[in-house]
Amino acid sequence: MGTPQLTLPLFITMILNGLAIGMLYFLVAVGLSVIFGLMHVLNFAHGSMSMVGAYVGLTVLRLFGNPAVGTAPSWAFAIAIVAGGGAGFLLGWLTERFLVRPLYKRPLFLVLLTLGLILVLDESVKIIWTANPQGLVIVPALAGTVSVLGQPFAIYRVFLIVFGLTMIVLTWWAVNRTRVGIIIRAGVQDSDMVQTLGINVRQVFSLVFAMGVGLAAMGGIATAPFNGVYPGMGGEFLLKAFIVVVIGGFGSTVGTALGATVLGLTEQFLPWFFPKFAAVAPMAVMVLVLLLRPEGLFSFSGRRAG
Amino acid sequence: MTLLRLEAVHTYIGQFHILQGIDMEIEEGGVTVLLGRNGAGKTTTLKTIIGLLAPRSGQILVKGAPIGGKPAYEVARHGIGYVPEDRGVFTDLTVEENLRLAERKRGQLEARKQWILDVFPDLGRFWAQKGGRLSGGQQQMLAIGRALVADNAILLIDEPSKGLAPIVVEHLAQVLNQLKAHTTIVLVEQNFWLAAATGDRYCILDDGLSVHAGQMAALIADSDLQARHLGVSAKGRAV
Repeated sequence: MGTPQLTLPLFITMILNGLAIGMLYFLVAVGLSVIFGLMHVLNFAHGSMSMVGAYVGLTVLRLFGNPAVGTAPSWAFAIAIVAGGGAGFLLGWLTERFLVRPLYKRPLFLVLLTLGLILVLDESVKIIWTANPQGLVIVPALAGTVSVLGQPFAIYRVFLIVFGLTMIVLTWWAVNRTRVGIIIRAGVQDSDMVQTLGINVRQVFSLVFAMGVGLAAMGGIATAPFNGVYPGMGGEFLLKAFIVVVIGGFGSTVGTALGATVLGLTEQFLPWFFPKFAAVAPMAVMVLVLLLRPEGLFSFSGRRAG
Repeated sequence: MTLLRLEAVHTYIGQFHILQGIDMEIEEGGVTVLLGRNGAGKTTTLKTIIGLLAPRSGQILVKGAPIGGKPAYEVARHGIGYVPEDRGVFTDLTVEENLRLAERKRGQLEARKQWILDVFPDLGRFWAQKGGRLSGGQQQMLAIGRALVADNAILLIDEPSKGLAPIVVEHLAQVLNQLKAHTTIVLVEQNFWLAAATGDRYCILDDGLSVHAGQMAALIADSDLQARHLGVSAKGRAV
C-alpha cells in the first residue's frame, strides 16, 4: 500500500499538529538553552524537573475532581498549570541556590550532580505517586474538535499552540524588553563584566534557573493529557529538548522557538514520506545540524539570548 | 586626600604570583597613570581592585572602607567604574541597552544622558545600533560612557588606546582631560604620549611591585627614569 495523497486539508492539519508538538518542545527546551547560555550549566535533570511539575499539577487537579475520568472542571486545569509551574520554579530555585551554586567552578561535578538528580527525582515520584502511569482526560472546555478545511482538529491541540505561542511572546518580551532580560543577554556574553557594573549576576542566575525549570514544569502538566504522567517521562523530554537546543543554538530564546517548531514539523512530515525512519527522524535532524552548522541553525553571532 | 589605597596586596593567577605585595595610593581627582612593561602587573592591579581577581593577602581600601576580596558587584557599588582592556562592550545589546545596564538607580541614565552625549556625540547617533556594529573607537567611547552612567568616584580604565588610530587616541586624550574634572581616573596605558597628555600623577609597576611614583610632569622631564623603567624616550617613542 503506497503513501496516501497529501491533500491541502491534511497538509494544514499536519502543520498544526507539528506546531502543537513544537510548542511543547519549546516550553521544555527554552530553560535548558538559556541556563546553559548564561551559566554554562547543562542541566541533565531539566526533563525530570518538568516531570515533577506534571505530578504536582496532577495532584492539584485531583483536589477538584478525578482527572482520570474527566470530572475535574476546566478552570482547575488552569490552576494545575500554574501550580505545576510554581512547583518547578521553587524546585529550580532551590536546586540552583543549594546544589548548583557551590559547584559553578567544578563543571564535571555539575554534570554528575544533575545526572544524579534524575535518579533522585525519578525515585521520589515513585515513592510519592507510585510507579504506575497516571491518566489524565482532557478537561471539558478543551475536549472535542474544530474543523480546519474540513478536517477535524483537536481543540486541545489548538490550546497547546496558543499556550505555547503566548509563552514564546512572554519569554521574548522578558528577555528583550525588561532590565532582567538585558542582564541575561549581557550575562550570556560576559557575566564578569556585568558584575563590574554593580549587578549581582548570581541572583539573576537563580531567577533564570527557576524560571527555566518553571516553564518546563508548566509544559509537563499542560501536555499531560497528550503524553500522560509517569516516572521517566523526563528522559524523553530531555532528549527532545537537547535536539531543539542543538537545532536552535544554545542561549537563544528565538532560536529555541524556531528549533522547536522545526523539530515538531519534522516529526510530522518526515515519517509521512519515509515511514521507516519515523523513530530516528529527530536524531537525524540533530546529526545533520551538528554536521552542517554545529553552532545551531538560528545562532547568528555565537552565544546569545535574544 | 587618598581615595584608594593598596597595602601589600598579593594576587595570584593560577599558580603565578603576579602582584607581589604592591603598595599604592591614589589621590582624589585627576588622572593617575599606571605604567610599566608588559607583564608588570598593571591589568592585574585593576582586576584586583574591581574584584575580578581576589587578593590572597593585603588590604584594598576605598575612602577607608575595605573592599579587597569582595565580589565585583559589591566593589562597583562603592563607586568604582571599570573599563577593561577589551572594552567589555556587549555586542548583542544596543548602545542604549549597554548604557542602561550600568544604572544603579532608576533614572540615572536619563539624568546623565545629555552630559554623556555631549562628551561622546557618536553614541547619540548610534543609540539604537548594536554594540558589535560600532568601530573600535566608538566601542571605547561606549565603554567609558557606560562607566559614567552611575555616580562613580573612581574610574579604572585599562589601555583605552589599544588598537585605536592616532587621531582617535588624540580625541581620547581630550575626553580624559575633560572627565578628570569630574572624577578620579586610574589609567593603565602603554602609550606614553597618551599617558603624558592626560596624567597628573604616575605609578610605575615592575614585577608586581610599585617601584616609583610621583608627578607626571617630573617623569616627562626625566628621560633616564623613563628609559630605565619604561623603555621610552621623552618623546614617547620606544628606544
